[in-house]
Amino acid sequence: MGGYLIRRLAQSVVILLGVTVITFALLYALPADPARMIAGRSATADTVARIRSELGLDQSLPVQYARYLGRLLRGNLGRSYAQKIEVTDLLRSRLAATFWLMLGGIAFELLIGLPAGMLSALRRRSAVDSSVMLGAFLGVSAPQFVVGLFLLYWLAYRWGLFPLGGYGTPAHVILPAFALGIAGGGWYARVMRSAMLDVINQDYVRTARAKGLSEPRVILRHAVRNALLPVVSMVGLDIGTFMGGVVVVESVFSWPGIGQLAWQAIQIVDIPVIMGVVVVSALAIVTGNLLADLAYPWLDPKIRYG
Amino acid sequence: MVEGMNQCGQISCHERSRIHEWLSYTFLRQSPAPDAHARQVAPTEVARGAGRWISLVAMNKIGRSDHGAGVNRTVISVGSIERSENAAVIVPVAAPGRTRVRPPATVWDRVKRNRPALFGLVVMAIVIGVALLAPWIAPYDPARQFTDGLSLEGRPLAPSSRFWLGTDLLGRDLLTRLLYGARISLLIGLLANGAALTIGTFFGAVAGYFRGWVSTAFMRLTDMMMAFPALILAIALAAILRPSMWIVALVIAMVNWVWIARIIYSQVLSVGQREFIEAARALGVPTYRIFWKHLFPHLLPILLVWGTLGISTTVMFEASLSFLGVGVRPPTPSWGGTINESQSYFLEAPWLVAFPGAAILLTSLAFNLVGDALRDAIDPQLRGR
Repeated sequence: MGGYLIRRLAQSVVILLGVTVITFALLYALPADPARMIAGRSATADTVARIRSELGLDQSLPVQYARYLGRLLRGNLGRSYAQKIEVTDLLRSRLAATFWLMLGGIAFELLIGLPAGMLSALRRRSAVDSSVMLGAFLGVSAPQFVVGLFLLYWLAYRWGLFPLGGYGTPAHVILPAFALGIAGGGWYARVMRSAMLDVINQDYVRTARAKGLSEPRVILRHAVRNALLPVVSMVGLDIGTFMGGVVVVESVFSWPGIGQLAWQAIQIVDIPVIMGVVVVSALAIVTGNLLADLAYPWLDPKIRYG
Repeated sequence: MVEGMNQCGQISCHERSRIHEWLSYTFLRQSPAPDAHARQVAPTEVARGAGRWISLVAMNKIGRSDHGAGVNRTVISVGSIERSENAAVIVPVAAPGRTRVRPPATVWDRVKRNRPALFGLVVMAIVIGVALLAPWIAPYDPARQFTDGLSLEGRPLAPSSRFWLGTDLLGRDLLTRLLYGARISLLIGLLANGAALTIGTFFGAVAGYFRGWVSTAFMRLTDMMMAFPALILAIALAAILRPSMWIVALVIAMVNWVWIARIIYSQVLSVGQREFIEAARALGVPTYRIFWKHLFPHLLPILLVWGTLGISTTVMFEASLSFLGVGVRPPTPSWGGTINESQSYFLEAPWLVAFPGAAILLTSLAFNLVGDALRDAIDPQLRGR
């Protein structure tokens, strides 16, 4: 276990390094001149050149990257071009919002997906099964922004049950989390269904029935617990993806999370902020994967890492 | 010459791999088939299996009469034959073009019984038809701004007999815009998905075939790509590069190829270990030929499935980019773009979001349903689920 953990951590570090290299190369290779943008349209060539050298943009790309990496290792993500604030401070102020949205989104995914998948598996090949599965496909195929806009229209605007976007109270998180969770809910339902079908024919389920356990107990204790394994790794992935910022949902609901930050930074080519968001997102995704892998042996004693 | 042709039967995967093994074994050594082996694939037994169609084809290319009675009757469809001076290997089945392993009828039969998939197929056909025929079936010109297309206060019009789905913010006919939007969506879907499939298949197949450090490097690279916040990266690229249709497609492909590559990789990993590949390699068949003739046919079903499912992903992805305003540029009609333009008017004119939203939903749903049905039909393990 210890060896495995160290190996995985080392891999994660390499992955993160790679992500910074590629993003850095991409962002600086693009035909956008940050110095010109900061200076503004009316600035003279002198001013632009001065800003460029202040930011170190006149150095070669590898030098710039080495400097960036040096600062990154000390936890310094640089300064936003536009707002003259440390990127770490900007990110910190947004992380809480993103965290709550992530939590809500995953809660909805599980609330929708698990019961639907279980129901579908237990009523296999019935009308219930096919309609649940069709519903799951609808959920997967529905664009988040359309779902979000209609939630806003009906539940917030017409019926006034929820606030029209924004951030602050628990009521604010419900609609965006729901919009976020629908697609995942569809996937979870499908995965849960096929995992349940696999598990239900296993010997230990037959044994559980044979020793006279009641059906709900067989299903909940013996079948569901084992069928949850693939779902766990999906949750791990989703923690990562959602923490990395969900641009579309955050933009529909004006949710002040990482995704919005990224979106605003992209529009004004605020490269340090974009880099910061990408680094944090990648970190979140890698951590999410790691969590899922570590949860596996804990849930399933048959799996051991050497 | 072709005995037992009328006794075509279905064989299971397991049996099929037994046949492969036996064939490679037999013909590598050029020994006549022992009777015991021949019995294993006798048509009557084969017919009991639950798998795929084979046609019993005589192996005239390698002089079957020399090989004894067992071989005469038994051998499966011949994909291609590799020979060297003292050996020959039949590369069986799954080499489409020469012999059909799975005639379309069987896949079609399974899809036919799946009602959601049929629905998906119909919707798919409609969307494709609309995309192809947009200029002829659209009532108006997509760029035309009608003077009577806005209300006196300058608001878009609700659906009416003149404008079936109403008008958009600039007084253009929404139905026309949506019909033309199907072109952009599908075209980007095809381009992006085609590119992703090509890149993914290439990398996945190379890594899976050569293994060793190539495969390690591949795994790390894909790990890295998967750790990228895909949408953020795509938005950043699209926003800075100024979106044309090609760039949007390319950006989506760059983000999506990894998943295809992983799937192909694992497939090649397992197919590459089968005896017929090993045999081909032992005979000194050039690598490119092994890839093209022996490996690729085995990847086709998966590519078909992911090609279909992938369209749904790319259509959604394109819609998201357009919704954020970094998709194809405005005068070009696109579904996501229409929703983006109408967002501020949404509370007064919800149909401006509802109709394009429904178009995206239906298209994506259709390709998902069909792709899923194909997967069920092709993968025997999932059958009956």
